[in-house]
Amino acid sequence: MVKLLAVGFCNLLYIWYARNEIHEKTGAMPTDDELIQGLKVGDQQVINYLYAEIYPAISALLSKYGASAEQAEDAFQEVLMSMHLRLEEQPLVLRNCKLSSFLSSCCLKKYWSVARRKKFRADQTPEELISLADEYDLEQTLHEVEQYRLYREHLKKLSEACRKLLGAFLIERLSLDQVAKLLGYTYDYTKKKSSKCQKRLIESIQSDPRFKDYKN
Amino acid sequence: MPDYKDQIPDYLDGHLTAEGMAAFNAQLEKDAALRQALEDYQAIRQTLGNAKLTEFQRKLELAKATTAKKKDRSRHKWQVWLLAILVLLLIAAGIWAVNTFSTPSPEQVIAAHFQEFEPGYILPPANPKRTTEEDTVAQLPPLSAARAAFSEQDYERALELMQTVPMSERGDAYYYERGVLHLLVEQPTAAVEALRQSNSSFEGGRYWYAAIALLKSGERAQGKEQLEMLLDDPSPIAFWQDKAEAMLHALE
Repeated sequence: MVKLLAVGFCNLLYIWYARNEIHEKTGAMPTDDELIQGLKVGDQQVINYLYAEIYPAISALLSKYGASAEQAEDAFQEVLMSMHLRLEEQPLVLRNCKLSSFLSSCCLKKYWSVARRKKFRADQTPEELISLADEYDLEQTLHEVEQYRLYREHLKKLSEACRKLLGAFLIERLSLDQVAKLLGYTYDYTKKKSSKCQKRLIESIQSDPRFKDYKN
Repeated sequence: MPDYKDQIPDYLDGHLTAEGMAAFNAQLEKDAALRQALEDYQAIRQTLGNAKLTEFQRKLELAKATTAKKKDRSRHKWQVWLLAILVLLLIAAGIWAVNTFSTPSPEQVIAAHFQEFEPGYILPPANPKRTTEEDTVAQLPPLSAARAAFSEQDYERALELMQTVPMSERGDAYYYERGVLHLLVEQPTAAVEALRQSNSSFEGGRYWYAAIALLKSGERAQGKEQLEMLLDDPSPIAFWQDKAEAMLHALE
């Protein structure tokens, strides 16, 4: 009786497991071309896929070279963002590798530049891995993305009132009139506050040594 | 003199008066630092206002959150598996514990004994065996014929033959074997009688069967006494001792 119960229990477990597995595997695997196209147009499904399926391997690779989880994620996000910008100007044709390898190479290259700049301990330069990234020029858009993220980082450091105001005015590009209505301020106060907050933001950014690096 | 740097946001947003704008432009022409500051403002405002990057950054955050949720679900899945394995282990441990630690009843101990019973437990090793059906009674003396039937597990026939053994040949072994045969054909009272007439302990075996016969006759206290005598006997073999201990444990 007990044996029968145990066998029945195991069978139920197996059926449940199999159904879950099937459910998770029914989505077809996208091709590299589909992923590149999705990245170009900013397809949310593709971004989700890259995050779920490719990012873990990249994170593991970068951590092998001393990157923290945060550094790996920054590199991954910045590479995807710069590719999103770059793909509009120049198509990416992968001849010698898969997209995952190419992305790994770009992320490693990106991390390596940060590591060198911050004088992280680096025993060996992963030249061979980095070389894959050289097939496609991401330098300019990567630079743009780095600046964007740096400015966002400084924006986050401001007071909540400034963050909200500048977020609406500079990022969402609402007019000062719209911002005033949104935040429940008078127009004159919004104008004055905007001016002060922008000043604080610019000063904060200018005091960051990375700002000078990016300018050069 | 006004601080022109402070006026940059107003200048860029067109909030200066006509005079203020003219003054700012004039200052801009001769002040390289102001020009640089204005460029910085413009560059930063332009970059932060990059709608494509803002939109993509949002999507990245969403993807990150989705992946984290998925991971949570996957962790949850493992927790369910772990729980299932634990339940299985608990069931297995329960079965093992029941089998190991549950005390069998005296009836179960007796049944287990007779399930594995072999005539070899009782009969002497050099027991003669008949070779054909006909030689049983005709050629073998009654005791040997009875033992032959016993070894062939024909217990009722063996008992019949035992009863034909002349009184002069009835010794300790005879009464021991007869007692066991009575037990095997479910005659516990007769078994008690027969076993009482045997004076040898047969390495503890006689006490064991006497205890069984007494227990089956409803004489629990006397049965227990026989078992204790078995354990006190100076020459019992471990085989009988283990059985006696198990039975005493069951009787408790």
